[in-house]
Amino acid sequence: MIKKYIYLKCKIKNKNRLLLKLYKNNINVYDIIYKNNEIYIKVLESDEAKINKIYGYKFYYYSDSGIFKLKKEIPFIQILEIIMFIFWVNFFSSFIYEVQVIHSNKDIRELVRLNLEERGIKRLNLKKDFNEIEQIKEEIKNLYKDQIEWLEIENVGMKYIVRIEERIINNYDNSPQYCHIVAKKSGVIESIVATEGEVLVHDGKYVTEGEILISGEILKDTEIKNNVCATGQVLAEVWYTTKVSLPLNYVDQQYTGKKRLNLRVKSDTFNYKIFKSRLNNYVEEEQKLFDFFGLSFYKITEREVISENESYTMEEGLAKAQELADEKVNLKLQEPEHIKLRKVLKKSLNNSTIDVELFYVVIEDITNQVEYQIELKDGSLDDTRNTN
Amino acid sequence: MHLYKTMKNFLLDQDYYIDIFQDFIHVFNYIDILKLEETKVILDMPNFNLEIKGQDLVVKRLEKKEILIQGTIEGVNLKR
Repeated sequence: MIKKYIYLKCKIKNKNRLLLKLYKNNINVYDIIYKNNEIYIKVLESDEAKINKIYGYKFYYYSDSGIFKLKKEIPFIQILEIIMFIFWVNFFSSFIYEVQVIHSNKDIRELVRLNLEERGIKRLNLKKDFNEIEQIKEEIKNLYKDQIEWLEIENVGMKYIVRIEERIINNYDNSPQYCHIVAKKSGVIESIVATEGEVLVHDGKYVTEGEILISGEILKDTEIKNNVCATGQVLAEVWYTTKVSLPLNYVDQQYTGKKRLNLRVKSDTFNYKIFKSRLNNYVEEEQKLFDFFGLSFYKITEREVISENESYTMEEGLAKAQELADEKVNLKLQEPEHIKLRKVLKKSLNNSTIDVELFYVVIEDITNQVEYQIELKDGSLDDTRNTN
Repeated sequence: MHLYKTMKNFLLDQDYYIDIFQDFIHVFNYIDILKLEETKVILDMPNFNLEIKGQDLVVKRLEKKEILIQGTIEGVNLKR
């Protein structure tokens, strides 16, 4: 509890006598002001009764002290005005009034400015917190690895100053001088397209991993006439087995089209939804609005859904499992790679879960360029590179 | 304030102390005020009496264990 101090006024002839009396009565005096023949003493309000009992002196209340004095002197409306002033200053200073991008190259400036605008760093938008700024910096740097070496976003007052260091790339040719095309995986050759080098295998041949398919050594009568970097593409049949487990019972969620808006306040220690949700079954989409005094405000869109418990028949489950397995295999493939054949090896049902084992024949690019070095006549290795 | 005093007692583990400033003298843990005048103040301290001489000596703060005296301090004597 806050101790309340008050100032008492007293007319005196001998100030020291009064002080000695106060001292003898165990009254602490926290401040003493002398004015002509008057004395002002700061004492605890709880001591006032004891002081008034001192014989020969008449004490008058003069004023409160500390926060109580402030409370009495400043009206409530003024305190409210001060609080509102602090609030509005804080509110307005959380906006960006200018984004200044510093770099000599106009294209780089424009590129960074547009990217920052896309990410919400633009005039009259709310300032971002430190983590968001760091994330935006990383995103832009990763997106323009070849153009931007370093990027700094500095918050100075109510503006952001963006400093950029342009990346200057020396185009050294790192392509190998002499290379073979070898098999990345074992498989049966489907097609070979060689643009440079000597083809050592033919369609339908089974090759093992690491075997040379297109050689960089150009031979004539078993003698190496020239060395090149073999280039081309070799497609081969590769075999895979994959397993998929799928529950036959599942929950199907359908949007009804009804949606409600809500607000959420989050901090490190709490997560509070402002309005009560009016929908019974819904999914949420969250969008951050702004940060204020360490609190993050989010807009929540609640979309009503109808959930129904569904179940697959054995045939439907098998078809779905095959579809999932195809997706799994297709994830690894790129044009012109494709699935040639698929066969179900094994299927079983355990606790309403269907387990399927599938065999796949996939046409896959097994091209792998491997550099080699040739020995010069003086015994040293030729490892020269062309530079632009 | 309680915390401050506890810390102060812990750090200043002494029976008493006397601080002399330009126009002030601060005494902690005095036993009694023996004399209080404009030119002389005598305080009863453990083992001795503290005599403060000066001009226009006035008490600015007076507590059970502490006293702060303002004025032109001309001399401080310890009388055993």
